[in-house]
Amino acid sequence: MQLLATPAGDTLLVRVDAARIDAAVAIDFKERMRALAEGPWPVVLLDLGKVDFLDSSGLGAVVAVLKHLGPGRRLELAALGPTVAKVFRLTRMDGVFTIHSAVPEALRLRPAV
Amino acid sequence: MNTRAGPGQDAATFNGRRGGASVRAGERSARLVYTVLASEGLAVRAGLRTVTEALAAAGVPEGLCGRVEIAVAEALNNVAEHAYDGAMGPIWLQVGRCRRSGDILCCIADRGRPMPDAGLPAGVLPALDTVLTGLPEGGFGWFLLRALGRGIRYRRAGGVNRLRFRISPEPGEVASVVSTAEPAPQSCHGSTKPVPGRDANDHLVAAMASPGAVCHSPHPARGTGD
Repeated sequence: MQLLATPAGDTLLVRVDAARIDAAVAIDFKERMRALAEGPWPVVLLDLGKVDFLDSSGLGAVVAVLKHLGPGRRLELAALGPTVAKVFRLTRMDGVFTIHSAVPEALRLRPAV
Repeated sequence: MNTRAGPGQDAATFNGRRGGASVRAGERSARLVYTVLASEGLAVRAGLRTVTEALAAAGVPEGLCGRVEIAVAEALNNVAEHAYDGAMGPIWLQVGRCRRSGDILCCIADRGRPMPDAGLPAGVLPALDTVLTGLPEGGFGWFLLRALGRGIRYRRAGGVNRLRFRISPEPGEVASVVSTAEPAPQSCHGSTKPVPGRDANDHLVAAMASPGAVCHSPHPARGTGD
C-alpha cells in the first residue's frame, strides 16, 4: 500500500494512494502509518480521497494510528467517499475524529519540503 | 479439510424452517452473483468487486451498492477470521435482488467452525465515550452487519455454516432502468412452488440446491454432521 506523506508546517499530510483499506492491507497500513508518524508533527491529516472502501479492519487500523499518536497529537481525516463516510457514521467514529470534507486548500497548494 | 462441494443434496435442510415474514411468498427475484472464493483477504476483495460490478450493471443504486459491499465484506471477513481462523477454506457467496422490494439478498456459506453457542454475535457498538487509549480497534464487524442487514439468519447443518440477510433500499433510492437483457425472473423460492411464510432469502437457499448453483448446501463431510 502506497502512502504519500508531505510535511506542511505543523501538519503531516498523508495521502492514501489506494482504493481500499480492508482486511487484506489493514496491518500493512497501520505499520506504515506508525512509521510515518514517528516525525514531530502535532497533526497528521489523512487524505482518503482515493479510498472507495474501508471495512471494520481498516477502521480499526485508523483508530490504532490515532491511539499511537497519543494525547498530544491529532489524527484528522479528509475527503471521505460516501461508503467510507457511512462506516464512520454508523460506528459513530465520526464523533471521535475531526473530519474535513476536503484537504484544506492551504495544504494542497503547499509544496513538498 | 474436506472441501467437496457438489450440488446440494439437502435442500430441505438448507431451506430451513425459520423464515421472516417480511416478504410475501411468490416474490420474484433475480440472481446477480454466484461465486466461490477462498477465505483470504485478496480473494474476499475480488469477491466483493464481483458483487459491486454485478449490482452496478443491474442498476442497483450506488448507496445501496455501498451498503451491500460493507455488509458482505464484514460477513466474509468473519468467515475468514473466525470460522476458518485464518486457514484457507471455501466460501460460497450468492447475491440476488427481489424484484418487488429491490432488496438485495445475500447468502454466505462456509465449512469452518460454527458460530459460538450456535447463535449470532450481538454486534453491540463498542463504547466510544472513553479515554483515547480505551478506544476500540475491533468489534465493529457484526455491529455494521446488524446495522445494515435485515432478516439475518444463521444456520449450521451438516458441517456447513449458512448466513443470509437482506439489505433494503432507503426511501428515495430508486433503481435505474433495468436492462431487458436481465435473466428471466426466478421465484424467490427457486423453481419450487412458493411456500407461504418463508423468508424471501429462501429463493437463494433453494437455488443452492439447483444444478450449477453455488450457495447450495455443500455435501456434508464424512461424519461431521452436527
